[in-house]
Amino acid sequence: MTDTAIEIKNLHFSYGRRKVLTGVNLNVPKGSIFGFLGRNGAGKTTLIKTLLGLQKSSAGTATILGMDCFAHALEVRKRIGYMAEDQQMYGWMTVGQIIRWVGAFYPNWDNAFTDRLVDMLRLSKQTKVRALSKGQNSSLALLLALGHHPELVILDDPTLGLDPIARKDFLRRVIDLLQSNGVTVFFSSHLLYEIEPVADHIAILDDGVIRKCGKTEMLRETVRKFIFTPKPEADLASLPGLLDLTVAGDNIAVTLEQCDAQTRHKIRELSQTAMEESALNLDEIFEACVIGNKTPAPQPAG
Amino acid sequence: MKLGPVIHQQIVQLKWHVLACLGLVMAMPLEEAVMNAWQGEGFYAGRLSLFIPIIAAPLLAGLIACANVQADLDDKRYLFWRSRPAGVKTFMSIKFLIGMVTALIIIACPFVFAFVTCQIVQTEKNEREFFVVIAVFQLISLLTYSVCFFCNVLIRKTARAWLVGMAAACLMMVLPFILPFHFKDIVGDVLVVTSAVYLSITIGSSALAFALSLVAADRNWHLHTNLKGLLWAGAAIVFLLAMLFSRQVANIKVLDEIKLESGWGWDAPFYRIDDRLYFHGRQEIQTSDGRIKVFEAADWFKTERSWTVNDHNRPDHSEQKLELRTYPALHAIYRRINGQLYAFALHIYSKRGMIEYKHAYLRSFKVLNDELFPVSTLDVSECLASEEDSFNRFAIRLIDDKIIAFVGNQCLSAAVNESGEIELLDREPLTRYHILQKDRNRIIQIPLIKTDTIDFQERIRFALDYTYKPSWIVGDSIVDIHNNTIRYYLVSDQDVARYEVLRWDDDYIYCRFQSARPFTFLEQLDRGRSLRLERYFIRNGKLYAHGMQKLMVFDVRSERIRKLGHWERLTDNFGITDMEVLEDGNLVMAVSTGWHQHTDGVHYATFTMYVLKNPE
Repeated sequence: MTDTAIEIKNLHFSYGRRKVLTGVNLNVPKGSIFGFLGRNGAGKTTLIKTLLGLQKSSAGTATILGMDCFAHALEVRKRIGYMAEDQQMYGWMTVGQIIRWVGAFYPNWDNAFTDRLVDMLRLSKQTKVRALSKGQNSSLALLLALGHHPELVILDDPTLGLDPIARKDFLRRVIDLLQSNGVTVFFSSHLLYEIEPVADHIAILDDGVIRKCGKTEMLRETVRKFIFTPKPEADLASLPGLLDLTVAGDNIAVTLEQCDAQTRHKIRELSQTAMEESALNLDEIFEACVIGNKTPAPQPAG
Repeated sequence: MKLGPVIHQQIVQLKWHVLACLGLVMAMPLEEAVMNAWQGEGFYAGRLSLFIPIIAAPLLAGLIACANVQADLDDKRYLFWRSRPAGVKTFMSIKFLIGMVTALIIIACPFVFAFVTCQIVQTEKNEREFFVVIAVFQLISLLTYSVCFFCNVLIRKTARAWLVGMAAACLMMVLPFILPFHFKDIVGDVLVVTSAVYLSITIGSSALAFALSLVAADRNWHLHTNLKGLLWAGAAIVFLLAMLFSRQVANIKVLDEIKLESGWGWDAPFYRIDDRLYFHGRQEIQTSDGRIKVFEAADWFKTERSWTVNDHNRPDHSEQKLELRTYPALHAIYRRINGQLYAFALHIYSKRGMIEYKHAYLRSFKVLNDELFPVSTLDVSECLASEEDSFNRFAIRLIDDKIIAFVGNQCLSAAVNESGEIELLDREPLTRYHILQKDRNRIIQIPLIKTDTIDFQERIRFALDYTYKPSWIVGDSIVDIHNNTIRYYLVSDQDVARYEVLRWDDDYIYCRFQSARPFTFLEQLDRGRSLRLERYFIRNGKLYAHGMQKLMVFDVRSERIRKLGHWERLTDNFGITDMEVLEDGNLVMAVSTGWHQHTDGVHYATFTMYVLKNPE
């Protein structure tokens, strides 16, 4: 038995000439809630479709629960639950019909469990799917992803289109339902504040490349921001692990990853000016990773 | 995967489409049945009301296919069920089959309704017709359903997929009909639009479309289309097809034409006499650079027919009231020897109105100052079969300086000397005929004429021509001898068939069917009027075949028989009476165009003479 729910090694994927994923490496531990961050178009859904065996990678391997995603796609899908962004279902079906219909695909579908979920999620089996609100639609999609007691749940931007209250409500339910059962959750989103409170592991995907990957706490500890006043003479752009360098008036701020005692010592050596160190939240870490400047902006003449 | 809920989902999903389609196809039959009942004729739907279902059936089948696919292959819904452990091939197969059965049941409904109500009221009882119509439209609908299904799996936009699917299905159905394309004529012995082959094409294409749908769904092939591009592509295909179609139906080019009148009736053949071409016993035809000129023929030619019968009808025969038949019919065979024109004919005398032959003569005449003078007469009456033995064959052909003739039950060979006199060389009994077997897979055995005075190839040619086309024996041949290969060609209602001479011995020629070029649907369409063949012959590697309203030219020396061109005029009062290949390679064709009454009250047959460019 492996302790890894998802293992991705050097995965590449292209749509024709356009590279979407480039050398992605990822390990999702069993039982973790794994936040998969990325901007729209970063390649999150493409990676998830590859994990579901819906498309074949150009190179590399991806295994879920020890099985090759493409070669054993049906077996993999029997053991995982998937909820897509903006899930569209059959509007003409009632909630009861769609539960019965989806249940037909799974040998271990638990009708009693889904009945409990129907009550818990405040759904009515007689309601037509097209009559559900967006929040109810998401709840139903979640129900359909969990009805067979999956070992791994993949949520691809599950709260897309929900209002803030509905989003919080949905996330609370997800945590309630999954956290206590030891189910691995692979949670893809571009909304960082959504992931931050729940995810114990984070990966940041940008332009098809994993920029950052690790435990959430570890990221918070190792990614630091230093603000120098006034600007030091030294070349801060050469600092190791530089994620972002921002000049604002007389101040200069640098964001560094893997920031340890040695890095701090080096910074003090370079700079003789006053320096302030601060921790970043996930939102700021994501911003630094994805859109951070690695060179100082040009100064106005004079 | 439990199939029950999946099948149920597919059926319920189609519910409204089914009801809408059913309403559409049943509206007319129901209305007609109600109207008939109202008028006291009984509650039944006749053929008339089936017109709309017939037209609508393939369209509706395609629509049901597209709607069926779109319900599950819409981008996000596709992901919804594909992310489940559903075998995509099983899922799509269920979807295809349920949609197909539904469509076919809907399409059959009006026909079954009409059939059942007609049975009850006992009117229009034509069971076979009903079932044939049902079967044909089920097949066409199956094709449109399958192709549209595949197109929507690919395109995933209902309207576009339906348009493309219907166009593709139409193309598949029409293509075998409009093939061969004029410039290639790729129809060979492989593709023949018979019902069996058409059935295979329809079912084969449907099966292929189904298989491709499974692959496309499994691999998530998605063809991104834009409507403008599709319309342009469609227009380009239609234009291309129209061009190909028009090339196929285009007539051979007419270089010149001239109108003529004749009081001799409408049966107007050409006669090739020496190096001149005569028409209808009156006009001499001359062509130059594709232009046609007509001159009055010499007097002797115009009167030769009556002269043959009267002046040389020997008195003793006349007294016995014998009837004369000439071979070739009407005119003689002409040949110029040392600058002098001679005529040759076989004259047979029989009792009037009876098939009892009394005398037979091979005769030659000299043409001098527009008159014919007898040169020699060879009495070959001994060759005629006895009254008990009715085996009599008559034919004559001049090959170089030898006359080969069938007289009674004998094959004669006679030499023609420089003075135009005929001298008997040998006489051999004819082999009695075998009934020609029609099984193309078997070797065909044809009696060979027994004379050593002409070479083998000409013996074979004569034997084959006489076997199949005895009435054309004088000038026409169905045999093509090329590169030491001897082949002959038979044209039927269905095809142009090529036979090859395999070997021969002293008694027989052994032949085998080799291939056929079937007539396409278009070529057979007007078969009743124009393709009923009057005559066909081979000349310089080309086969010319004409009926009353159509001429077709085929290249028979290529690996496969290819049609080179045709000329057709589907109008009334139009009948091709004869055609000839001119020295310059062009064709001349005489067409009877009706009658015209002059002011003197006499009726004249009117003709149009065409010079056509021989297609290459």
